[in-house]
Amino acid sequence: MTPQPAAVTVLVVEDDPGQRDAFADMVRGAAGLVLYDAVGSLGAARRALEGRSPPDVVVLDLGLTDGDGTQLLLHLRQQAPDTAVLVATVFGDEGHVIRALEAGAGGYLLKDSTPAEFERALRLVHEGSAPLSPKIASHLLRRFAAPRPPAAGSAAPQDRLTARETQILTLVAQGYMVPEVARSLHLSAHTVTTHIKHIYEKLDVNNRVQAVNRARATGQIE
Amino acid sequence: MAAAAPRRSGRTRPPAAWCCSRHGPAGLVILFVLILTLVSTGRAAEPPVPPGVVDLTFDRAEFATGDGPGAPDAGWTPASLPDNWHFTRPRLTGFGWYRVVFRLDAVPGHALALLAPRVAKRGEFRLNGTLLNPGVRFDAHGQGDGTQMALQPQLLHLPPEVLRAGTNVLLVKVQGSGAAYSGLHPMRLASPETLRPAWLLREVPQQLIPKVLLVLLCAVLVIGLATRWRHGHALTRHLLLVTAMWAALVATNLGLWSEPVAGLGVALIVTLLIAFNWALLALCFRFSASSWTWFPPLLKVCGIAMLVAVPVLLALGQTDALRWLVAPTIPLRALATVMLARWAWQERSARALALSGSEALWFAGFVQWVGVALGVLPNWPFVLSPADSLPLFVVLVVLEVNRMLAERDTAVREREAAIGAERERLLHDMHDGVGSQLTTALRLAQQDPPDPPLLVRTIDDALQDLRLIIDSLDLADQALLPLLGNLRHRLAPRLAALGIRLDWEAQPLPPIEGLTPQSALLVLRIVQEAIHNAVRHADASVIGIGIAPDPAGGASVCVTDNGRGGVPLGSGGDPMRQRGLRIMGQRAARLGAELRIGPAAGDAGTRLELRLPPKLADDREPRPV
Repeated sequence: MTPQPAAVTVLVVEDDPGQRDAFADMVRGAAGLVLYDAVGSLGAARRALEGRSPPDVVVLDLGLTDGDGTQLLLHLRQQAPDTAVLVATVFGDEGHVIRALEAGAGGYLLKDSTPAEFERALRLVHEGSAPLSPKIASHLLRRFAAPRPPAAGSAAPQDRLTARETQILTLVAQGYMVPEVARSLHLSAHTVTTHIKHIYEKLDVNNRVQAVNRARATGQIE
Repeated sequence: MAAAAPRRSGRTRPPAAWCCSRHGPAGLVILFVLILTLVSTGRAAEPPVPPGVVDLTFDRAEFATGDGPGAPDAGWTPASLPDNWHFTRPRLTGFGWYRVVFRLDAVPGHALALLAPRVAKRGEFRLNGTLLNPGVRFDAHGQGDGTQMALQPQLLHLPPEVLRAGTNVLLVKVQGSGAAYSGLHPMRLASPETLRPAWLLREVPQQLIPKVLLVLLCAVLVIGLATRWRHGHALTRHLLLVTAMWAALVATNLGLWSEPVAGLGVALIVTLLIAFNWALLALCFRFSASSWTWFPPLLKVCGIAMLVAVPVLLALGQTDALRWLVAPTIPLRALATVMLARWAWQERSARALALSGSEALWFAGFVQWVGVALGVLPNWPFVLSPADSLPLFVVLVVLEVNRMLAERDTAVREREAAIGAERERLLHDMHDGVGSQLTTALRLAQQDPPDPPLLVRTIDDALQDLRLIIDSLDLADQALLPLLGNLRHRLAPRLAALGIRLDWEAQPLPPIEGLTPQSALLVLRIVQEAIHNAVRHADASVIGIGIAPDPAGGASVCVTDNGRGGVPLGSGGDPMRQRGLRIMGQRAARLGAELRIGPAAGDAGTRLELRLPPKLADDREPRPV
């Protein structure tokens, strides 16, 4: 008998009741996904998390009635670093997605995703994969190529892309999917995904501060 | 000891009529300055001096050389004032003494002062053995570090009881050089109230206005640099460079630092003068709309030639010749004056008159300076330079600020126009896409019986079109590929759910000139429509998208499918599909692109190829497509 994979617990934070119900139904309808809770505000989300072990995945809307969803993202990054967060967005536009990545999100999800897409996105982010669209890749290439403001000083290693990461971003920006990128570069899909995760971590402001603190503590930088 | 007879009047002699013999624009400018000078110095005939009141003018003296602390005992010769060593004693460098002996019948009962309008380069005044201006520093070592008094009129208040009834002796010890304009101008002994207007006539233009100009120059320089550093715009580099050089020259004239006498110092000041004249004349040309386009290249050639000559002469040890390098600026400045006067005459605007007039005044001051230095101009009441450049500087700053304001207004108007055009385009795109699709959806929802699958599809179409619009808004670096890739990224999972594979083959594209959010949206809509056709009308199981640079430049976008095969445009069939094909054709035409639709290889399926030219058609006007 093959062991069953552990169920993935999902917290849905979405202020639109119809959308929230749709997400909740998709969680309930997917085998292996368990609804942790479905709430409509930041306050309700905090209450739902109190005194319980955190969920595996949070599906989060950024524009909530009682505040910005990035507040919850930052809270989760500190209190529950193993919880993956998918930001729900209508358009997947850079404005929303980059802001979410900077706050530590693991990826984003279009609100009109089909149940299959929804389940796939949740499983991927839970397994550590990081979805990346060509436009976001193109945006990241430009962003990392742009000179840093003088106040930031010289670019630290965690602010630069490696040659491999640049190759991957370039191919993704040309419209190739992760398996195609992996074939093109003679890498495994897992390796490509790991590189994309590292790129995400370089965007994550919270993570960058921690990296600098770690480097300072270990004497890598003065 | 011969007593020089003082004249009992303080009037200056009228200027000689020498300038009337000159012709040409420079002569006109000099005439203009003479008129200006006469107007500014013209005084009504002074009333006769009442008995008992002292008002003496000393325009004759005796002269002797001697560098000792006291006046020489012998060697005195008559000298008339003004005395310009450059002509009367060209070989003299060092100290000379002037002696004026005059008689007073009685000690005057009112306060008196001595006005020495010009003593160059510096001098000490002693009356009956009493030093009247202590603190003068003579240049002891030829370093140019002595007090600079050439532009500083001396109004010396006499201490009480320094004058005697009978014979009085005024001694002036002057340090100068026959190589430069050194010497003494006529002096006047009278009450301070009587002398004050004549002193102010020199003090204001020679000291006060240059100091105001220096403050103004420094302020503009600091503000200009600060705003440039903080905002990256504001005053042009050209004006800032001119201002910096201007300030350095005015400060030199005011004697704020040692006068350059050694080779390197002279070379520096000559370099500064050449560069300043070049930059300022070029700036004047820029602000004018003169048709003399040959003038800036001429300035450049002359400027470079003169600047190259400076280190050459310095290396050859020809320090004296260095000063003559400034000479070519005289015809250049005369040309600039004529150029601006000609332009002002043609334009007859306040701007043109202000620039031309202020430049002419600046040139007049320069001509005066050269004329006085060469001895061809008589004893002028005051030296115009460097005060003469104040109006020009003010005019240039005002013109520059006006230019900046006009530029900002233009930028604001252009930005508003661009925002308006983009808003119009968005409205048009949403009207044609999302708007009409939502209207259809509403109609479908209201009809009886409703058609849920068609309703869902229509709303989905509206959402997809809205995404295309949003994608097209973020067009960066003329890059079409990420936009098409995003379309693929979005559609691939949906097509996969329907059992359709979306193959992708893309090569990096060259930048496409004229690619705007509007044209990018047209490309995206054509490709999306082609994919929809393959899904909805052709029953395809594999759709391929190939993007590659076009051999003729530009880019080629191919959409192929393995479906039932294409229906050529206008050959009948499904009216919806026909309409879709026609709209695709119209969109391609708006891009200036070529659209080919035909059977795929092996006659299985359809192949659509969109060939984008290297430069897309300018399609800013919204059209009903």
